[in-house]
Amino acid sequence: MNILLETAAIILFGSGVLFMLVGSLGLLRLPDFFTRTHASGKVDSVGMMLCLGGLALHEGPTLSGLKLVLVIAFVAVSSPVAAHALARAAVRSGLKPWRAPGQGGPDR
Amino acid sequence: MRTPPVAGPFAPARRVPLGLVVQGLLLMALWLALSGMYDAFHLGLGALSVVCVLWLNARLRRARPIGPGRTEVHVLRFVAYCGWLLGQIVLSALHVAAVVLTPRMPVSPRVVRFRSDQPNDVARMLLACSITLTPGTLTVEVDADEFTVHALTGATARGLLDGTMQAKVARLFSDGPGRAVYDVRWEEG
Repeated sequence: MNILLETAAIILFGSGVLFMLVGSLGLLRLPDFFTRTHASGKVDSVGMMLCLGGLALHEGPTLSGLKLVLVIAFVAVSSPVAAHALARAAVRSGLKPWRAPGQGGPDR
Repeated sequence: MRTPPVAGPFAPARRVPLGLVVQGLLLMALWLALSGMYDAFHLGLGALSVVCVLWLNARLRRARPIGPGRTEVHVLRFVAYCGWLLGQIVLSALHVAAVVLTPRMPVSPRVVRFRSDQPNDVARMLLACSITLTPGTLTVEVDADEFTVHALTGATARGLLDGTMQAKVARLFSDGPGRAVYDVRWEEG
């Protein structure tokens, strides 16, 4: 039972780290502000929630485990609001989303 | 807020809504559970934080009152929705990861507007947050029942426009929801 829990925790934490790596890669590779917000605001927060979930499993039903679950809930609520606020501010200040070449976007 | 003066010797000088007192007590309980330090300094910090949060909440409520429509939620449906959303988040996170890791990176960002009949403002907020929380789609603007969404690829946009999420959110609050998705317009670059 304990080994099962530990394995699940390691898998969760490992996949969380992978998602955060992909989020950082996306931040570097993607073409404009909006697409980068997808990478930093969402893929990263999925990675963070997976990491925290793994830690909560590892911690078990203790006060620290409860705190980790609370942090996951706060990230789930605050991360989309922050990403939305950034995107809305960008649109309102006149930033145009990048378009792939051949779809009305700049040919490059 | 203002209550009429009460006659009698035991009339309290000031009254506050019961909801505010309950909210303050719950916040303080959360602080005590999370802080674990019970000396005067940390208790004082907690009380100060609770007052600040209550003040911010009261300001928010005055600034933007929640519109009409029943905001009571079907609890079981909400729990089921959270599970479904979690699955969607994982699926689309894998999709976005695959796109980012493909060497030529086949992104084709699109902006799409659509309308969705939702029973109240809380449902609209929940839908906007759910769209943003799902990797690959980002809510840019919500204006009444019109949602503007930035999608990383055509696939993520089409996944959103099939109306599953919109219908599920509407069904959390009411049994006879209206149209899930209509009036779809793709923004031309």
